[in-house]
Amino acid sequence: MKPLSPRKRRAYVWLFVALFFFSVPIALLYAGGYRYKPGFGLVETGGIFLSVPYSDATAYLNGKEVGRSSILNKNFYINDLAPSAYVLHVVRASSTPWYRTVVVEPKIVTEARAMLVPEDIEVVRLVRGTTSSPTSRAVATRLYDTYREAFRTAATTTADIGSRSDVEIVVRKGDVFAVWTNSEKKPTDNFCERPSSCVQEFSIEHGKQVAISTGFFNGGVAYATTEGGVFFSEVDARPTPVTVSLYPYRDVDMRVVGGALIVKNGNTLYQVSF
Amino acid sequence: MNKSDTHWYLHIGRASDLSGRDRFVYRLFEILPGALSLTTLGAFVVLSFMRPVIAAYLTIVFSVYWLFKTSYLSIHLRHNFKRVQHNLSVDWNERLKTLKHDQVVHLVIFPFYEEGYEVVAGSVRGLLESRWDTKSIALVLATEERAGAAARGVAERIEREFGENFLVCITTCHPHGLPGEMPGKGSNSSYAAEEARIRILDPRGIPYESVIVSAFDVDTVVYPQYFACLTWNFLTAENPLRSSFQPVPLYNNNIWEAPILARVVAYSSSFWQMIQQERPEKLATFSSHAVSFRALYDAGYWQKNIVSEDSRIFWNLFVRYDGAYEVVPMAYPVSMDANVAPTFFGTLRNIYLQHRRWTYGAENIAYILFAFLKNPRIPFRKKLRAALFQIEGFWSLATHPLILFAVGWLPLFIGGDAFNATVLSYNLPSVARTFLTLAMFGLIFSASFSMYLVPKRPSEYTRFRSVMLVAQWLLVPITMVIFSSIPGLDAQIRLMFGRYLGFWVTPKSRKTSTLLSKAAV
Repeated sequence: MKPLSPRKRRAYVWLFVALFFFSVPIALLYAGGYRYKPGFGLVETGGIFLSVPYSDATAYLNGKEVGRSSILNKNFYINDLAPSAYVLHVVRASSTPWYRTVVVEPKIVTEARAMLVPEDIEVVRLVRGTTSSPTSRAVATRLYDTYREAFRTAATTTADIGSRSDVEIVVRKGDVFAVWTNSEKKPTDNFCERPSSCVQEFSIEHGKQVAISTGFFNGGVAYATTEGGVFFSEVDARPTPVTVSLYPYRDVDMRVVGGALIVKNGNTLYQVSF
Repeated sequence: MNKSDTHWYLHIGRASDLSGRDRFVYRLFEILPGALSLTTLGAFVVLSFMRPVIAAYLTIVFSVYWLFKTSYLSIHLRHNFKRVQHNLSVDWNERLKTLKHDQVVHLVIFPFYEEGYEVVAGSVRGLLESRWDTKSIALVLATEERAGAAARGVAERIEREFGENFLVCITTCHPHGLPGEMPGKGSNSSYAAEEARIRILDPRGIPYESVIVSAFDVDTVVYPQYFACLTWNFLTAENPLRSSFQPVPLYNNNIWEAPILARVVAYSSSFWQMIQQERPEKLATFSSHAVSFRALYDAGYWQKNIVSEDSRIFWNLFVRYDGAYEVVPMAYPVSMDANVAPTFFGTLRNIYLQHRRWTYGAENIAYILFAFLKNPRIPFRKKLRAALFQIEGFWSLATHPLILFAVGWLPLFIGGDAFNATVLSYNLPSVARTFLTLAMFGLIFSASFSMYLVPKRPSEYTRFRSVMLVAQWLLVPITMVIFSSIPGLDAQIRLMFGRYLGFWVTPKSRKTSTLLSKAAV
């Protein structure tokens, strides 16, 4: 039996060279986001990266299901999208549904992070000491004093949202604004109505109500208004950010202390959580 | 070094053997492989920082290239596998009946250092159990003086126990510290070959042209028809005195004892040699090989001052015969030991060091380029092909696995926010992975054929071990980086900075002595 003949080997070389030159442009165009659409030819597409940090939530794009989140899979990469506006919709039992309109541009992936606020929000009165009751929670004296002390100073308004820094929340003339503070870096997608059009700041609360304090909480922002109480909202310039009322009483104030949302109503402290 | 000799440059080991402009040029050639590899990898890192899009596209191009390259190589592997199977089934003695072969003498050299009796005796028993008249085999047990009395004792015992079965059996003792020599297999084998000439060939008046030298690693166990197959190839070669004969090295002696990583690495080495067997123009001698004594004598035997004497001897002969020299692929196996140490980490360490020694074959590039400069009689086309094959071979060995499985993914980590927001950044992993996975499946498919080359499973091992012999190929991306790219790069960088390697002897040990029954397919 003889070795592979030079003729056969040459034929294989040419075959694979031809396959290589045939495959490379296809692979590169595909990876770069180009897709063939009948009637349109080669179209530049974009994508959406949807992060759903909860299990058992169902995600939809323009009403069509794209997947269900689980412990192992909490991200959805939706590609092959022609440039346009798309409505994302995430639902989960016992949570408020989440909607977001995102604009997809060619070759760019737009990121969105679903925020599902439970329908049941827990509000408990905090008491100093060691004895809890069905309507109150006892906290150590030192911690309780720390909470109280927090209301003597202005609310902290610079923090991380998730893993992202460079965002500051400010209360200006009774309105709450999210401000992108890093001038050397392009703002993240939540500051961009479309990938190519970003803003340095946008209002989270901008209306008749007068905001008096704010703080980062649970991946979003909590703020208190004199008229409506304490609210929770997403930090996202795109329509339509989730806003829910957490503690609907007038003349209350709030602070976020060590990740806990503490509301002060008169002389009484409450902890709000979800 | 006498420059009035036509081939005065034949045994140059390194730049420091030369002086003046020659030394400078040789040094540049030594730097070349490392510089090429480091520049490639460095350029990839810089591109990943500065132009991540281009780096990402290059990674995809590399992945596509890899798929088709492995497909192309797999075809060669499968063909060679069929050829090996066919050659194992052929009755070579029958074939030899039509050829005059009585005059052929086989000179077998087993150079060894501190290997024990079991290892050497196993190999010698292999010779005795081959289907060949061992009275036409001259056996040389080549010991090292620096190994002391123990090695000498092993050789004497073997000579005593088995010597009378051969035409002649001698023991040589390579003196320690001869000037201009590097301790190692090359200097030991050369000394043994010259001793054999003086003590065996000349006294008996055996013409050098009739002698085929099988230069074996000491753990080499021949398959039953090795000598018949070799003789047939020798007698039918177009120019037997201008040819080396390369068997397929299988690492079957202890393959069932070897840990999974050692098996993957061992079979990867075998597969590479099998692929090369189908590409004779790219084949150089490796490990255990055979060559006519005439050629060996003309070239002054194996080089005594380098690490990669097994492949260098081919280039010595190629240069000595002005390019009129080739390797004949035998497509017939010999069996050797997979690299196994008493502990798992010891095995990993030994594999790394062994592969660094093998990939130190990059030292041949400087030799080839320099010799090509000095030898105008070699046709330019041959020079160009040989040089490019060698340079590309060592460059791709050191860089491609690292690009495909490590550096190529850098854009995702250091490409910056702008790149990370592109569709390309999201698609890079899936597109590249698709091509690499296809390539892997192709490899596993081919590798599954290797099961037919594995000796029968000893009863002490369960079926699970057999399953793992196929599943082990999933480790290839890891072994390619750790035991191919990194030692390759390590060797090239050492050469580049003049931190020359010495010969590292792979430790060999045996649990059993029933090699032949295991090695038989």
